[in-house]
Amino acid sequence: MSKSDYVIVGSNVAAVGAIDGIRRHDKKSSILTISYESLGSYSKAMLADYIKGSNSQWLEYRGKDYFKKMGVDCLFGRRVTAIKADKSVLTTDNGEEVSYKKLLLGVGGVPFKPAIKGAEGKELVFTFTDLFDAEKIREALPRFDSAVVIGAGFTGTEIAYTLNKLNKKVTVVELGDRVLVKALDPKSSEIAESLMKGEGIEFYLNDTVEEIAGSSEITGVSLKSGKFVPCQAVITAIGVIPNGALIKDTQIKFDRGLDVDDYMCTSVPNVYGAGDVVKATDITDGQKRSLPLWPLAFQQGLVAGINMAGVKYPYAGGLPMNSLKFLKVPILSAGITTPPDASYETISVSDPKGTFYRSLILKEGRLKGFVTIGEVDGAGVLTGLIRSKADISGIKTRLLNKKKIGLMQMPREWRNRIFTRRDETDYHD
Amino acid sequence: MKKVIIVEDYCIACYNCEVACVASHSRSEDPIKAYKREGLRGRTNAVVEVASPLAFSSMCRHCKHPWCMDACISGAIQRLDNGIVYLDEERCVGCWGCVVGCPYGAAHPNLDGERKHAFKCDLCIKRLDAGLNPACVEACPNKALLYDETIEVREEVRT
Ligand SMILES: Cc1cc2nc3c(=O)[nH]c(=O)nc-3n(C[C@H](O)[C@H](O)[C@H](O)COP(=O)(O)OP(=O)(O)OC[C@H]3O[C@@H](n4cnc5c(N)ncnc54)[C@H](O)[C@@H]3O)c2cc1C
Ligand code: SF4
Ligand code: SF4
Repeated sequence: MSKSDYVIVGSNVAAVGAIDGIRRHDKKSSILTISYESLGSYSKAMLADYIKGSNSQWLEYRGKDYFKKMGVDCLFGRRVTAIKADKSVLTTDNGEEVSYKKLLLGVGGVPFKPAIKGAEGKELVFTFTDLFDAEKIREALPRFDSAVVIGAGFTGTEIAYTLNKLNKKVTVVELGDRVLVKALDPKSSEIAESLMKGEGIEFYLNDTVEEIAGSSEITGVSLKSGKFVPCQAVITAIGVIPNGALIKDTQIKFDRGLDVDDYMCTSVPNVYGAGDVVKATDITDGQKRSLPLWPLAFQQGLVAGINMAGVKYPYAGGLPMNSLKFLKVPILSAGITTPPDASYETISVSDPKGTFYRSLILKEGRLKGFVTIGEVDGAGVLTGLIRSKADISGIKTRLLNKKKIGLMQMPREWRNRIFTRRDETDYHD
Repeated sequence: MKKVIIVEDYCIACYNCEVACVASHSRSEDPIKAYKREGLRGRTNAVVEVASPLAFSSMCRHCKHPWCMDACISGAIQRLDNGIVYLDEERCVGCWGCVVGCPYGAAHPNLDGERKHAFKCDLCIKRLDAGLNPACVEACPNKALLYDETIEVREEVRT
């Protein structure tokens, strides 16, 4: 049996955050990271580039020598198959056992796959969440000219856009009444949809795929509305759910997401979790939910690592941040973008051409979220205002007036503190 | 760590910092060529904000915990051992994660040009290596920009 002080299952962004966190306070102890993927840390958010033809090294999130530089042992291409939390031992798919003092589960999410009639046994049905998926889609590219994408969220619209750029005819089917419902408000959804339509992507909203037609080769999909859309490939991109496969048969608490406390510790004292696998606190309403977003996975990993190294450091909660990275017109948002009830105030501005739009959501004078389209430089200032929970009633219209957002709009005292003093973004661990 | 300290009371909105920044981040290191031929207009890392009579030049604060780095999906942004938060424009894929993440609006999107990418202040890393001050600091005629320890550190020294 091999032994390591810290064992990390997963080697992506949550794992990298944790390694950074551990090494801030513990330079000596041994760290082992295990991932069934061969690339080590890579960017899932860049998978579209891979489908478009870039080589896999381009996806590497930290340089090849990152793990070595951090003094981390790697077991890549190996899947963990079981955890015995009572004995602090893991088993891998070649039957070897690894014991740990502290364990981090950074196993990410798995694609949510609805049961669709006719999906089984067809080759050109894909998901789009890891490098294996991207590889399969890339290899199959010469074999289809048209595709239906199920889901108009971030990954759905991204793969739709990518395939469209590769000259495929793409139709997106979405159960909800608008695109990118999690990240945008109705008006910005409409703008995003029309931008994508302008590129030649078709949308069926308020609809869903009931059956994939054809034998081994797909002929099309029939929709709930009765329509039939001819196509040769289908990609389900409805989202990811926390990956509970490893955790199900253990005493580690998992309920539609790994339960972690403020210190990213699970119900078992020496087992921690971070990233897409956990239910984390959403800063906007204090509720715990699965927030599968890159920056949050990094931050949670970092905080988990700091705590694993023995420094008690609470997680401040995550703020959802989104950027629609593929469109020519940039679209950014953070926090609550669609007000849940009448206690929220919405102010917005747009130009008639539809290339500039900004909306701010406030509650009791404090910024809770925003969307900005077209003009995005300085948008992070708004994100900072959400985090700082400062009363902005006095300056809110100024944040709409200016096209570029800047520190100019901030109270002088707040600004000068940043210019000269405290580094307020610091994790004071 | 030493940073560029911004003294807004002294800024007279002369834009010398912007010109110096562009020039020092250009191939030619010549402001006219940089603006006219290298297409670096609007590509300055130090940005003068003006609402007369108030003005100041703001740029990356090289945060100890950089939110821009957390958000960077490509690994283009990393905090170097010397504390400089460095954005490698070649690695950047233009996802604007840093733009939405930076609370000071100091990571900027370059939307034009052949390749989309973000850019931000690198504290003139090359000049520092050569023992010089950041270009904006050097160019400021009014000492509205200083390259110094932050007040926080200076206070710690005093107590
Ligand atoms: C196509 C796509 C585009 C995206 N774009 C964005 C974006 O623009 N912005 C954004 O914020 N987020 C984006 N995301 C989401 C973002 O990629 C995730 O939030 C992030 O990758 C989560 O990181 P993680 O480390 O928690 O998990 P993952 O990145 O999912 O990594 C999981 C790790 O666990 C390993 N693993 C799992 N099970 C086992 C096992 N049993 N044994 C061994 N190893 C195991 C895997 O090999 C992998 O290393 C995107 C996601 C996808 C799929
Ligand atoms: S770009 Fe912004 S978040 Fe990043 S180090 Fe600079 S000031 Fe901090
Ligand atoms: S725009 Fe570039 S530097 Fe900024 S977060 Fe995205 S990849 Fe990183």
